[in-house]
Amino acid sequence: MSRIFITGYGAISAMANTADDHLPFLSGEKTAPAFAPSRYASTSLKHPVAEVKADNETLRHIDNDLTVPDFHSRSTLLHLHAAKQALKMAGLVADRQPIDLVCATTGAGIEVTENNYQDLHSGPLFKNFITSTISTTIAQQLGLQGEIHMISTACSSSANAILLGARRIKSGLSKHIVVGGGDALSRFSLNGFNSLEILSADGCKPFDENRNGVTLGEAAAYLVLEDEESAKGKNILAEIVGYANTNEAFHPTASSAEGEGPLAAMQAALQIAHIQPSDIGYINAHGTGTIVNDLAEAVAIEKLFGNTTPVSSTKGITGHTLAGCGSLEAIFTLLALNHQQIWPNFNLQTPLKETNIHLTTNATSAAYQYAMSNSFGFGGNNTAIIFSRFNRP
Amino acid sequence: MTQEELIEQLKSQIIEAVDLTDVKPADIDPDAPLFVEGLGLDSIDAIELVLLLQKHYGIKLEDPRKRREVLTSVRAMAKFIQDNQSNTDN
Amino acid sequence: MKPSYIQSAAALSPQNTFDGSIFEPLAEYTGDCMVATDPDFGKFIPAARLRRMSRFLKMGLTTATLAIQRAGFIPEAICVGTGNGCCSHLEKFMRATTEQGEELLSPIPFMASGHNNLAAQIAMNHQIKGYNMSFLNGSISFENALSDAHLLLCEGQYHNVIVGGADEITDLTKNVFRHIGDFLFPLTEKEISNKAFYSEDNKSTLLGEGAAFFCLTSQPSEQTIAQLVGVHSRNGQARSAQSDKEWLDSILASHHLSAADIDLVISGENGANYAFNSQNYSAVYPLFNQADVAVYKHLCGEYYSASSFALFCACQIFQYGKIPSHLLLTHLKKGDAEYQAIDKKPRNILIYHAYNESDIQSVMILSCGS
Repeated sequence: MSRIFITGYGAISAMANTADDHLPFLSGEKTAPAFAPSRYASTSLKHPVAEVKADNETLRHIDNDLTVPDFHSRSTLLHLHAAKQALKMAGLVADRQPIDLVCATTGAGIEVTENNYQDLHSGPLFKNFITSTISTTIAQQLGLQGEIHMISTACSSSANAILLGARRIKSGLSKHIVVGGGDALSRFSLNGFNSLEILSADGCKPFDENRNGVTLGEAAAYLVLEDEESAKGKNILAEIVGYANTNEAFHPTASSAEGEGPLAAMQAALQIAHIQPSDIGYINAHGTGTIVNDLAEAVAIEKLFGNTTPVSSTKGITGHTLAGCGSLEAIFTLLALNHQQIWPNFNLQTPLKETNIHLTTNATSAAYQYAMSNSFGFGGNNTAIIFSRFNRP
Repeated sequence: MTQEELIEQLKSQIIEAVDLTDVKPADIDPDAPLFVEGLGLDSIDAIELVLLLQKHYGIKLEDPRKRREVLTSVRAMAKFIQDNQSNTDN
Repeated sequence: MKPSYIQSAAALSPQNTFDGSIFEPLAEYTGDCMVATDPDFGKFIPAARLRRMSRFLKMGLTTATLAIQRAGFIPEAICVGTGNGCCSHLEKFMRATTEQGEELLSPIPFMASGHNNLAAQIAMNHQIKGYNMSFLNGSISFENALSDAHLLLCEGQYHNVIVGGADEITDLTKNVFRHIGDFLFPLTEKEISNKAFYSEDNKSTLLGEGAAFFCLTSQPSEQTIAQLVGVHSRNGQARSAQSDKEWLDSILASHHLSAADIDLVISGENGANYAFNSQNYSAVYPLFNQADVAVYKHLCGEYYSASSFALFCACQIFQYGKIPSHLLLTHLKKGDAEYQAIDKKPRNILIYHAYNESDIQSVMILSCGS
């Protein structure tokens, strides 16, 4: 069994076009762009969102050495950009070895389909209807010749991509694997959350007593995981030591108020890591800003960690990026760990009253070895991942 | 329309809105709880019922507390519709 | 990796496989698609849950429930592969946003359109609170799920798992796939019979649908149907007959097998034109010159997770110790689609699947249970 090392990461979101450029926004040095109505999604909804600044044309040319046909969806472009950054950072050369891939998506490029479904046969646009287009396009463009997987488990999708990649490395099935996910904003997702009455009219406030729903965002984020042999001599960014996915088997969209599902996932991840709750120095929560999710998660965290472990949701600046949030927040958790920082809860004014968990409101320094990232999705799908700071021998 | 007529009309509209394909209007007790017991509806169905009120009767029901009050039984919904429609008539 | 053990198999398909088996004469289809025959879903799914389900969910949950009943235990974990997921609900919500101008939208189709909804429904109906994963990856969606299930059992944390594939025909899939041409499924323009899929002059195939589910364990038992030896897929860009051979040889070697150990190849060849299939399949057959070649798309039609039906066929062939003649490519090429059971129990079966689509190939290897 191999240890699981992270050797690269890449991300694009409303804040920045590279992973490291997110750092000043997390630490409070810079103020994140304000949520605003979408410019690119074909919607009339004026709800504020966290949208990637670049338009599709800019995204298509953001990497000079990629030639991406223009029928591709915005989602595919975001995925490609993030995955390429991660691969480059890890210094992996695709044609020397078969590199595996686990992608994650919820919409699979629906932002194209929703505008063209009556007319999908007239040109290559229909390729966006084929669910494997994102995964195979990344593989082709980046020359990945290994196994290709694509996960779709709602908002925990890319956390599960990391989880599957980690398990494949540990078991020896993969030596190096690119893992992550993302989604572009779409009329579909905006109206979907709006129809469920969980789309915030004025901006999400995770864990706030007066929270009123999610703010949708768009992002893609990828990590490169390698086994011990493959990572030898490389700059190891962190190690994955624990992970778990469990199901609440309760309701298609809602979570139980007792937070049974999130609790089970966090407990199981700690077991795999062979550590105690008190070993975790920072929890990057799922914290979407809905009444139900935040309460369930806070209750579960309080049960397991009590009121001392610092907890924050970073969705107050990224918005909820659906299949992007698991891997994006994994990178934020890594950045926190490696800079020995705790990120704040953005937009938090009055912490929810039902629990006393330690919700941070400013970026602070702290010495710790382990951090946890939570991601929960519709369908009762709950995932927790534990990262360990890499101590050079 | 009398309250009883409105109740019968509502029953059919509820069956359609929340897809109760196996239920007939006669099976629904207008005084039985709509949620958990009785028809066994859930929070998503509540949204469907709010939509029903808006689509068929032009009444918006946004306040969560008011919703809990109104969406208790078919009779409570009928009464709410009558109260609000007479208000607009005034 | 260690093998895992298939304890039960269930399939809902355009054939009589839900209550019956593949050991029956072929049900003939001549329209533009092959629609699965619905069982009485109400017998498997509580009425309160049934009301919000698309056919995709009904087919998948019912088939999964039958696989669980046949296994005689409730699995601890769930892996599902689907190429189009809850497409009908997705389409319904998409249309509603356009037609209603983004106003007064019913949340139910959105809620039901999540591609992991089937895995979630299986979890809710059987109270399975462990690992729950859904894969959405075109033609290797099911292979993704199966390889994950296999890995899960090898890791040792879970002792059993249910895994399956499901897809349904909807207006949108019909519309889209008809125009995809040679890219993916060369669907028929004129009416053809599935009995004539594999004759020389046929150029196209029929869209199909179905669900197939399997309960797997980490340990063998008396009811074990087959051993799952390995699941592999790759993005074989710029592949050639030579690179296919090298790839398949290396997979076989990793399981201490040689090509001669494979007695039956179950091929995803779909009755489309010769050029399409020769590129994807014909180059592979000579590698297994001692094996019979069976096909199955004339039973279930062409759809993304159809390889789950191939695994179902393999399970039944092991279970019955027979091969139905109407699956053998040599018979079908001669225009003979009549059913007859041939006494032959393969030791090892290799299921091979490939599409022009992005050069993705997959292989599943199975050995007989005992």
